[in-house]
Amino acid sequence: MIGLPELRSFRPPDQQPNRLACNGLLISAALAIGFHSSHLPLWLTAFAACLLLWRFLIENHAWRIPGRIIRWSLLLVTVVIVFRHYGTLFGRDAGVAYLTLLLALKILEIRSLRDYLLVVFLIFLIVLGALLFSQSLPTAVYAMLVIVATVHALVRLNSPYPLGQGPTLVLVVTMVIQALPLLLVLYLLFPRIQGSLWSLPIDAHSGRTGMSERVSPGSINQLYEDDTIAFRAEFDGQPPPADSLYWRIFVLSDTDGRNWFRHPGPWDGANIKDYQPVDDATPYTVLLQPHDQRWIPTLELAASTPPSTHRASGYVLESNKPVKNLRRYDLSSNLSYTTPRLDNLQARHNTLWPIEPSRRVQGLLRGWQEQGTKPREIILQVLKLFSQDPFRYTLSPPLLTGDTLDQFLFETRAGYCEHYASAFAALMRLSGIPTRLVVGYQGGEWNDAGDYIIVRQSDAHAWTEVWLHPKGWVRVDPTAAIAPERIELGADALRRLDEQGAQIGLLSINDARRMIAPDFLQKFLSDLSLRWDNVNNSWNKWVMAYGPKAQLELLKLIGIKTPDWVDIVAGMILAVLFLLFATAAIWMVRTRQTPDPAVKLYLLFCRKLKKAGLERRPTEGPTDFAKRVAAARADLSVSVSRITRLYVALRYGRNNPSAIPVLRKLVYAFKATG
Amino acid sequence: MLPTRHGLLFCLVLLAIFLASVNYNNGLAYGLTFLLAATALISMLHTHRNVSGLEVNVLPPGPVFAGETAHFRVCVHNGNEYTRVALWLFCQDYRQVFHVEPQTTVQLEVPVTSTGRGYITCPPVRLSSAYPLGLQYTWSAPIKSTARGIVYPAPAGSLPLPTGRARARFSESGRTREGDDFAGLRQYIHGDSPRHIHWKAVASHNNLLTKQFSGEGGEEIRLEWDLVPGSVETRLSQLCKWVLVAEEAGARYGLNLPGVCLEPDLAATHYHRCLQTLALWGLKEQRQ
Repeated sequence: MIGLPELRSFRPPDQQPNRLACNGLLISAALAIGFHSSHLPLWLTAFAACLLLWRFLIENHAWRIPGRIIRWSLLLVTVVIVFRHYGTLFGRDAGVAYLTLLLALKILEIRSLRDYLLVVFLIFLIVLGALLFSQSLPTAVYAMLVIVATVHALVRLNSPYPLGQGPTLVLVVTMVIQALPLLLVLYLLFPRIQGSLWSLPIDAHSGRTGMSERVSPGSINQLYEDDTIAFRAEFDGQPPPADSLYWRIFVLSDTDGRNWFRHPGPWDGANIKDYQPVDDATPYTVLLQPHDQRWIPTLELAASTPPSTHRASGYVLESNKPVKNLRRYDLSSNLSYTTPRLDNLQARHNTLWPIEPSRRVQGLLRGWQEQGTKPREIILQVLKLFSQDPFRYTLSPPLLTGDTLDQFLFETRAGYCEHYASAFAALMRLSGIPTRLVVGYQGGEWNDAGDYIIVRQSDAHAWTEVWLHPKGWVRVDPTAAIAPERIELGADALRRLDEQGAQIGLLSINDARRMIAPDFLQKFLSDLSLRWDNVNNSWNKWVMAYGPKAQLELLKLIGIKTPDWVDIVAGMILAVLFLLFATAAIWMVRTRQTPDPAVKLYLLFCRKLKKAGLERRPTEGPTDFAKRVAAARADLSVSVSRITRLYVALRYGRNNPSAIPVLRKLVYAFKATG
Repeated sequence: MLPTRHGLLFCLVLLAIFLASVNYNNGLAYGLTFLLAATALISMLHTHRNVSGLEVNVLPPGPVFAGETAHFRVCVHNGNEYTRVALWLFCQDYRQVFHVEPQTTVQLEVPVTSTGRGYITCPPVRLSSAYPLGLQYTWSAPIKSTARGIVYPAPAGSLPLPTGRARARFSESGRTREGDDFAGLRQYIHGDSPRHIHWKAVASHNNLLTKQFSGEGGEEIRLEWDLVPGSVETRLSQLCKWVLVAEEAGARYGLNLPGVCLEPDLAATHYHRCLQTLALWGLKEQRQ
């Protein structure tokens, strides 16, 4: 019968953790704090490093552990300083700072096994803190390294007779490898919840930049320098051509003559799908980087609304909540469509221009109207104006002050997408044609390694939509008229051309392509970076964007259409148990399959002697046993001592496999009876 | 397999990490939670493997007097190819940490305090371990053994040693026996009491000689049950004391108990036979 020793009475024998274990723990603590060195105040990192060094000296050079008064005053002073630095006790950033302090001070005063254990757990929490800052693949690898180092120290703490660094590391790595299948099952099947349990601290996701809901001259220009990825998009088949990759984000129909804003109220396409699709919807998937706002990029008009999203005014898609984590959206879009007729209010709103145009602008408008009053004719006039000298495209335009429209059209005549789009929209509105501004991203970099498009912040773009009978809202991109390279070659190419001082808009596309053709090294590097991005993309898909939705899809993939969470959890537990038993079984069989042949032969030898009445006592070593046998049976002494000497040499001496057949021959030939 | 106190603390930490990952919707934090949980689960297998498959033998202790501590020897044999690390041996209040290298046997002494005369058995021994992570521990079934030691009665009592009476010069064995008076030296014969060896002669002649005691006055002491008043245990304790005193003095003594009679003798084993008789007298096991 197996009785349970009571937990209360279960006290492990006293054991003092050894010094090597402590040194190991110091290393993993240093690694864990190093994780945060980039966002902790420098003095805090340095302070923690000093305390670790102090402990190292205590451990290895017989320094004294500082007294209680010193330790408590250190704690008090540093907590006050950290509090003054962050102004709070809570939140992600302050929390990590306090944990780091606690860890460093706890390490200083370690005495018992329990203290060591608290240090181990603090390290786990600090690693967790690091994951809240970054979820990238390198972070994961580094975190794994810290965890392995910490578990290694934990194992050494628990073995008063150290097994040695090597074997312990082998043990830890074995454990982690054996744990991986369990990890996978738990990770994929554990029910994921959408949303937070309680409200997140304000600093949970800070430091993000990106598209804003207000466009004023220069706002997109900031993004041109920003190479960070906004989102990635995967298409089932061939992606649409570059000139139709217009990712719509905001539709801006309010203006004060200089800035453009979103219209606050419900407008066309808000909450209903009132347009007529002309083509079949194009399906694609967007993996959206967190940006703390609600927008979701869609190619033209979204044909469907994924769960927890809705349509907003201007036929754009919005998330119900700010996107704080990497998200995956399965979307489909109609690239050609007709939108319904505008009502009077909408028509008036979209032709509103709040400032009186200057005389020069009025003259320009009059001149066009004399040549034709049809909206299409006016559009062509304006685009023709932009495509001719002296209008030029540049990423560093002169600053506009005062009447921006007049100044741009008649004085500076230089700018980028935003300037051209807003000037075009202004001229349309002044001509009485309903027009609005659209901001979003245009184009993107095609990644061959993974068949998807990478869209960066630098791909940000602004264009216009004009309402034309009978199609409805039609996209007009004035930038395409002045700088076709922007659309054909992308924002990155345009920037490189600009850096080389090329006359943008005047080159043929082929010349432009030749100018920015990458040399071998550049090509190699960009190839490498695309491959790396592909790895990151898969990582994002399965780690950062793995939420309830992806989980449902996975379950569908293995044939569970309508998952019942009770069943899933039960299945998960069963799978975990199965894996545990399977691991145990495989492992036990493997340990049993490798008995030393020398031991096998020696045991046979012992059995032969037992038949003759000479049994080896459990505590008797082979040599002692041989002596006893020789004393009792002088006739056997020669063969017994030969076998024993050979066996001992094989087992405890140098490994010499060629001696095994000799031993086998001797043991087989050995006769104790008769 | 049960969690240790450290294991319970670990569960709390794991819960905290889990709540953080749910709250921040952080995939990698989920990964950390499950990695730690899975490693702890896997460590159960390692803990089990650390304890299972050990051979345990309990060897009997040497005889002790009641009240003294008997040391049972527990032999733990590891027949596998891996080292058993940080094993714990539990036996009542006694606990010890040890480890066993592959294909070796470790011998541990387990002290058991004897209370009364008779047989002493080893309380069930349990092997346990929390290695490698110290978060949960496993234990073996209690190992009971048939190994038993003998506990002699505690020597006590203040009665003087009874005086001997004259005896025949030759004993039944026909060998010349010793008396009180020193009679001379003779060659050592196997079986002679070591106390009668003439050690000075050994030192000078490198020759074993036995002192002979002779004379008409050769006495043998009969340690009689009836000579001692009191309860059974008092009598046994007094008799035990007498045996010790008589042995010390090198006298020939015999033991007379109700139902048992040990003729006076001087052989080395005689002393232990007497004490054993006293230890087991009146106990059921005596017959075995």
